[in-house]
Amino acid sequence: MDFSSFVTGTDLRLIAPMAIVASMGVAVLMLEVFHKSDASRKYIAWMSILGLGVAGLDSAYLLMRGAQHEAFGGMLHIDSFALVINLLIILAGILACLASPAYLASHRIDRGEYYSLLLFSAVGMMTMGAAADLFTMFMGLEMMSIPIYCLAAFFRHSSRSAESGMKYFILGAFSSAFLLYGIALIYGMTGTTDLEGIRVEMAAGGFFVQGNPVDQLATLPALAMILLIVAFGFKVAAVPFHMWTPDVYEGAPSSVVSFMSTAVKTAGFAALVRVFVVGFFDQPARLSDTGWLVVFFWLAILSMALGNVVAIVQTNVKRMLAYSSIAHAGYLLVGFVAASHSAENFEGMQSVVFYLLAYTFATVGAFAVLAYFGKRGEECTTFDDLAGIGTRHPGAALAMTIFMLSSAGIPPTAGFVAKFYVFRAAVMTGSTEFVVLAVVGVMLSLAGVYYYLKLIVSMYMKTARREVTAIGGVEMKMALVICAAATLFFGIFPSMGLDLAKTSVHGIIGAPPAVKAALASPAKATVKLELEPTAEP
Amino acid sequence: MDVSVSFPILTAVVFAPLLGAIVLMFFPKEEKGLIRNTALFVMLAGFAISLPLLTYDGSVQHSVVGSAFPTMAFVEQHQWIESMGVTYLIGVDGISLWLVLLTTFLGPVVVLSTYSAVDTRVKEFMICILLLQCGMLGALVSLDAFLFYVFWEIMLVPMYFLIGVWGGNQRFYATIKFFLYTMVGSLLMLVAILWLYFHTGGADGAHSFSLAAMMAVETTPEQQMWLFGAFALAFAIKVPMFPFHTWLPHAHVQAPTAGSVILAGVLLKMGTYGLIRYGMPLFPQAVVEFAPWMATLAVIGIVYGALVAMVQKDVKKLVAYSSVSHLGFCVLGLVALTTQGVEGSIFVMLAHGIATGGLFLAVGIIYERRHTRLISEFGGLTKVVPVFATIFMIIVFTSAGLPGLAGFVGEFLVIIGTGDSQVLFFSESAPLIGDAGPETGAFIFATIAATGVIFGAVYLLWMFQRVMFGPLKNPKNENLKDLNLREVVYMMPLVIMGFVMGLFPHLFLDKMHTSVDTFVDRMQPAIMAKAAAGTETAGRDEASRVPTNKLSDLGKVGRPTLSKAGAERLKKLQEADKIKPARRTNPGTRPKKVTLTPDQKKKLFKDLKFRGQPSGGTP
Repeated sequence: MDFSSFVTGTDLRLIAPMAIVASMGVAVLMLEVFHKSDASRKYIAWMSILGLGVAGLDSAYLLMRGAQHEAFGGMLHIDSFALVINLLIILAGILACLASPAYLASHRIDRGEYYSLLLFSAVGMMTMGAAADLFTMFMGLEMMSIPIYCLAAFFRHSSRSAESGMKYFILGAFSSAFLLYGIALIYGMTGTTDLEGIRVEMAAGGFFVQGNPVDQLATLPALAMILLIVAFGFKVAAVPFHMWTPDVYEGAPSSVVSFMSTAVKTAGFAALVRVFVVGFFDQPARLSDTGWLVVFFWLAILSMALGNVVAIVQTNVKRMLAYSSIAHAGYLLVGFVAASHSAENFEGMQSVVFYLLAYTFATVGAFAVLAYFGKRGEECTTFDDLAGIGTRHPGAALAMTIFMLSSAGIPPTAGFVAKFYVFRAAVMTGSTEFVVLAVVGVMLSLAGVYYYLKLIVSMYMKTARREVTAIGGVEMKMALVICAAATLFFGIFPSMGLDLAKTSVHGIIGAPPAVKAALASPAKATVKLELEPTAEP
Repeated sequence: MDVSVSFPILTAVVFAPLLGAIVLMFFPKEEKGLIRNTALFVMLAGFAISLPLLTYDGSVQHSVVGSAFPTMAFVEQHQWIESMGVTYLIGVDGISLWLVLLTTFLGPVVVLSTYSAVDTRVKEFMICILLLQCGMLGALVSLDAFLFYVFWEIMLVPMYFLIGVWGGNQRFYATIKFFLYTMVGSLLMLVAILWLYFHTGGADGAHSFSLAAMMAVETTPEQQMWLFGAFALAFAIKVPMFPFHTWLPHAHVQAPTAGSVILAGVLLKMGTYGLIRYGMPLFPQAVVEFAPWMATLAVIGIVYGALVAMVQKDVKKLVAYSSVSHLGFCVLGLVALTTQGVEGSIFVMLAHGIATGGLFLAVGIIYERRHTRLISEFGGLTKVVPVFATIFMIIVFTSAGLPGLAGFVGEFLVIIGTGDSQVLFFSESAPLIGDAGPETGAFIFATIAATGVIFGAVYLLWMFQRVMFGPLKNPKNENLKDLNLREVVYMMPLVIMGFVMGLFPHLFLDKMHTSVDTFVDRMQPAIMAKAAAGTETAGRDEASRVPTNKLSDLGKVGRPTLSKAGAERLKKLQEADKIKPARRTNPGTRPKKVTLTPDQKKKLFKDLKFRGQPSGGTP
């Protein structure tokens, strides 16, 4: 760390997106004080959207200007990766804010804190995406998590929701402790918390048992890394750290879950990329028998297998989506490990970013549809509740169908391109294990098709057992339309999203030199139209 | 360089239904009549737009997509996802041309048939049908593997809804089974496509999904085995070939009439079409090795499908199993790898589309009136509904393969083609049929297939007899209404096409010739290699053959086995450039249309006489 530089104007300019969202959070909190108790809080939602929107525009502006800066003496890296992650988080935030007002009003939990909690959490996530130091990473993680715990328990009168918040909090506190302990060990070994510094120190080799081929990775660094893996595995809901997911998703308000299931995952994966690629990319840490690549490889398989298989037997749509989000974490990990296989394959990290984009639209949309039905603390979340909405509420059902098809990876939706891209990254490594990983993933995603279809069957092909009330609300409908349209748009014209993903991956400031060199070499996968000259007319 | 015709006619053909579906979304759902008429109009317009495709003449001058497809016409090419090497590349040749036209032709017929049959959620129904039409047409014209896969999957979704929403009592089971079965195959195919994709491209490493680029990939025989296995499984499930057929009867019986017609008429052909366009040309060596196995499954399908059809009590199930039998002919003709076999196979696809489509429509008509499809509920309907009886009879004959009608030509060509085949024998050490070499193997397969024709006549005519002839026992049938004008209007095109295809098959076959020749030529080196090896096998003395019949050698069956001597001979032949059969320089030497020798005619006549007997009611 460089203590000689104080906070400069440039630093403040660079964290403007976070600062805007944070100040809007404070402003919303203040507004709540002056709010008349029974009036609608729609305007608070719109103010939050405004704050997020301005932050998003600023991120996009910085991205277009090609900002690649270190801020706060190297504690934050405001590079294209951080900015694209910002955009994804802001997107999830805006969509969740759109889905919220009508939902909160109908369930009588319409309070202004909701939006400020959501905004503060978004700031934490954005910090995680930009963190270049384990301390900023930890700070971001806590700033993200604590508001989310509160949001999960936002149904104050529902014991389910309280349980959900409590469970999430206690397990989350454990994972934070793991993270801290891991950081402490690493600091003890390397004398720094700066991620690039850690890589350099580790490469210098003080901590690896030199010249001993059997014990390539010494115990202490391995232990430290395992602690980090546990902490981040918890946040992205990878098996075996997924236990909290179904209960929390089921108990928390649907509009919260729409934000929590997507933005937290985005932040978690951004953190994985930052920590493991920037910090631990050297050969022994990554590639030895106990290196993190192997661990994530198995986490990917386990997550896909457990998520997809257990989702099949669920009767509650929220739980089904929770298990499916575990499976999605598995697919994302496939892209992550494939891209980390070697420096040459790092290009494949784009697949993770694009997957997050597709996942955000489909998942926010799906939970928004669930939020669309039910009132006064009673949600319509079982398959039976949703039976027959195809006739009663064709618009919502059509949107849900698109989200389910996207989650299942069926063209022409964004989910198909995303899955395709992830498995492509795996096959591209050329190693047999990864091809097997791709085949396993493809086969398990087939099981996924079954439970997504089951929901469509309920909606269209079964008759309603009871009348479901739709909440309606212009904002909610806007959220659904945006999600559905974007899911189809990125399915048919994925180029824009892929370009964005490419930009993000190419601009990681602290990336190891080998990765940078591989990325700088001319793009491999560009196609040329090969037209043979027309034969004589 | 004028690469495409000025008007993007194929794009218009493919996306006209999609446009129609989008327009329909904005219609109020109460306006059922308006919705139906609009859908009909869109389908008719789609058919009209596709008619200019008939100007295709099979010449090779349109070659713009690489030497892999010298006969491709109406080609359109645009970048789609540049970073992944995906192009929007479409075109038709003599093979896909007819399937495209079949699809657009069946479109209006299907829509018209649903005017009375579908009365709930008409809007959604029509949207599904139109989307399905778009998916099927897209898959037929795609020349880019990614594009093909996208359309291939898009087809599934509307069909899933058609069965699941408007289907019978067990529709959930049927529709999910249909979806999952197809997905299993498709995903394996996707992995194979990816593998090929990563092996495309030259020194600059630019990968491409274009089919032509994939054909240029060099693969070892073992890799071909795996890759072709993945493709073949996907297509075999779709066809469906014998052990993978179990989804079909469920799907057919549960689907609404229109769904069954499309399923049988076009969707099943996607499997055989996929084999011709993708599976087989990509992996010739694997194909010749798999050919006898696939042919075995095909003839099992032919005979098994026919036998099971014979004992069905439900007319619709009977027709569904008849599809298994007919599609067996398609596959058999394909793997025979002779020009006649392949052309016959394509012809069977078309004829099956017309005939089986017609059968399902006819079944639908009775079902609408009586709400049952059990054969035992009927009998003696001829007297009550004479017009229906006439039309139904012609369609039954078309399906059964009566000469002069569509069904006959294709099956006959397939049988001749199979008899000429040089690859339908098991390479080595197979204790099964056909160990004696190419001729014997081909003869055995042709013979079994021929018995399938007879069985086909049996179950169809027997069904017809039980439903239409005999005394009018059931009083519920006494007041059946005969066909109304609308029903006659949509049945007549099928009847007419049945006659046109049966009487003037050359109209159809002529446009296929060059494309089918290209296909067979591509397979030729592999065929010659296998034939050379086979002659070798047959020529070996008894002593060397005996041990290979041991049970322990069974596992070796089906491996790419070119005996050492055979390989040497092939190499010599190749060096001498004798093996390059390439394009037939003189098109006059090949049979332009089916010409029967007196012997064949006699044999055929015998066949027909026999065919009439068990039915009891010779036409």
